[in-house]
Amino acid sequence: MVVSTGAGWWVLARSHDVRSPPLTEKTAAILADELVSQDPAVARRAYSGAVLSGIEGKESSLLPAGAKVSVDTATFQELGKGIAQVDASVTGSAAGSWRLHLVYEGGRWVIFDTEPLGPGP
Amino acid sequence: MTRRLGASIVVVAMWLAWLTPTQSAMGASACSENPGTDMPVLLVHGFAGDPSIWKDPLKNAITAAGGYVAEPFDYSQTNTRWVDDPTIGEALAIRIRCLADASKASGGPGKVVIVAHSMGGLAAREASREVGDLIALVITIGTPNLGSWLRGNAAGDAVGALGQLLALLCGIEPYEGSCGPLNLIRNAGTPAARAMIPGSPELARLPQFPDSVPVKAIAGDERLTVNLFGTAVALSSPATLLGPDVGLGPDVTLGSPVTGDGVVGVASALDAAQVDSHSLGGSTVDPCEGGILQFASLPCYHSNLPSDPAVVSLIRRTIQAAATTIGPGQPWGEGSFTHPSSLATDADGNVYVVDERGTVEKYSPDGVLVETFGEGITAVTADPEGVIRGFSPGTDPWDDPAKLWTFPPDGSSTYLPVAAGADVLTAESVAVDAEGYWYLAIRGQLGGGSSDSIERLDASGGQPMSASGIGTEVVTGIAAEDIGEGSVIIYVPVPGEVLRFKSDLNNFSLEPIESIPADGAFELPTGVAIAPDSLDPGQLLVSDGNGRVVLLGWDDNLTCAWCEVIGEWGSVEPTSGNEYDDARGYNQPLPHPVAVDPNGNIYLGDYLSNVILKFEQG
Repeated sequence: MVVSTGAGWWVLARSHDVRSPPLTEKTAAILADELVSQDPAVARRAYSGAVLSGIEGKESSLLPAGAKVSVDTATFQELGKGIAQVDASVTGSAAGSWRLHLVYEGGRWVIFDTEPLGPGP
Repeated sequence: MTRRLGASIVVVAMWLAWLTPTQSAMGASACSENPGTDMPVLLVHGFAGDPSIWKDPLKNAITAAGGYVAEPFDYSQTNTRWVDDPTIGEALAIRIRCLADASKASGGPGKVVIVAHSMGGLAAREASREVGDLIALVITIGTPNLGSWLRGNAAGDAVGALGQLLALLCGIEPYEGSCGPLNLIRNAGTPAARAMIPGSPELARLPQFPDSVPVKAIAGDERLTVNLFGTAVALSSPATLLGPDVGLGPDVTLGSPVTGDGVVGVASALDAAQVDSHSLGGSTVDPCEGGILQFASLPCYHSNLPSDPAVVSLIRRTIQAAATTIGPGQPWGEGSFTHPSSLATDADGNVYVVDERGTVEKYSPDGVLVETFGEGITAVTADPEGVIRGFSPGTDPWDDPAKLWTFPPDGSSTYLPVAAGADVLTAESVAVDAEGYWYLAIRGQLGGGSSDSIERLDASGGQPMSASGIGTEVVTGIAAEDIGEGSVIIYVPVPGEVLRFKSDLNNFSLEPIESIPADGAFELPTGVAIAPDSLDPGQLLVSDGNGRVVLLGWDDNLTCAWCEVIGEWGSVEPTSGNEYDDARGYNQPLPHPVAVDPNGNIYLGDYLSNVILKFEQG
């Protein structure tokens, strides 16, 4: 793997490095459904364990009822072993475009951060 | 020809490989300049680093402290080796000895101050095996005394998930043209990185600093958030994202939840074994907050700490305070004292003591009794012109009122009676401002019959202006600081805090009353004195009933910017302050008066042990 750091390029990956599975249409759809679920237990499945403690106690999803998430798997980019990003659009009352920062945990991709990219479509 | 050239290259390469570390060690150990009479300050960089970590603000702050000259110690050629490498610990010891010897030969202090970042603090510990007696002060910044969580994964893979995450973060948020976290990760498989795994035998073998070396440990505390569709969610550390892959897990040595500067946990930087046994203790700089994607650009991120304005300020104050560090308290003054309750010093360094006998005893700075005057005095103060003023309580508000005594240098004495009917019971601490107003700390009556109050009286002894309601039976000290145009700041210590309020010619009121918090530096303050310039950066001295002398400094928000224990004394009072006291016959904090002369020598009256302790400037 080659990464731009602003000061040059460093080769980070090692020969025995094994990539995680890509984000498929099916797994992306599951992730999108979880994100908009109004069942907190289901919604929490979409997030990394590292951030769960911060959203504990929330009685509903971070996205409001009626929101719909569409993950654009064509933008999926694995930045390294276990770290990736993908763009998504949210429609409904929290409309906008977001970059989802993903980490591979428990055999699947989950979100540890999101970055607003702009207004939704 | 080609074969000969190739052989030459191999020979040269071998020669360079052998020579480079040796040259580095020699270069590092040489004294680049004579420090003269200034205190040398050695700046020791950290793992995988170099002296460029030391930016101008820090170097300028050290210079601005006055009397210091800073030099870097450079081991950048071997900066991934462990600190027991001869080019690091031993070379640092040689450099310290060289600078100390040069300083001594020039009439300087003959000691060296160490300011160390990260692993540089461990290098200083290693060097202290040989030259601990030549180290005047150590300030560590994010030093992993218990190890670092940024150490690669258990398999020794230098670039695990953490490296990948950092690559991501660097790509999004590069700072200063480089990416420090990745630089650390790249070297995670090196000897020094392996040695900094928590619980490593290398860490266990490192000596602690000698008890004689004051240590100030500074830790960074990042408060990170992630953004989940517009909702900010707190994250204790970027490393929590990485779990067991970087060996975090339930790592008890680093504490849980893990907080720190992104590389070194607070618990590791402030390791009690390294900090608590030394006088200056540890400080966590104010937390810095930001999103996880900015974690490496936040001011309290590990590599940014030496440039963090809060850290720079703390280092400057620490170095300045080190120059004024007081020695251990020594019994002072000939003769004996009986429950000393009030102390004052004049501009010449003479000391005035009032104890249960009710006279004012004047001592020379070396403790020789010069003269005794007054009677029935319970509180004394001295002005810069050498005029001594004392307060004596009356026995009856009308027939035998309290008196305000004046003792000029010519040996005469006069007094003014407090206005008849004034409800003045007793005062063990008194202050007089430039306008001639008196301020008395009045203890309320036993059993809550009256609350504590501060009384202001004009020089004619007129009707007191009373400001009450501070507490009951807790006030034993008062200090007044003239701030010009007839205005005075009054300081009154009460349990857990020092109260302050402003008084001017036309207004005397506790409102607004403000609190200077203890910040853990004291619990039961009883005596208070305005710190002279020689005790910079302090603004106030407090004697704590728990056996401490504390120097306080605060910022505009009355937050402790400098609240440090600078001396300890023997007679430790119960922390509650409510124990029955045989000497006084009722329950209340005991007065432990404190006074400081213009040179910063501190005098403390130990009420229970009947001694005056003198803490001399070191």
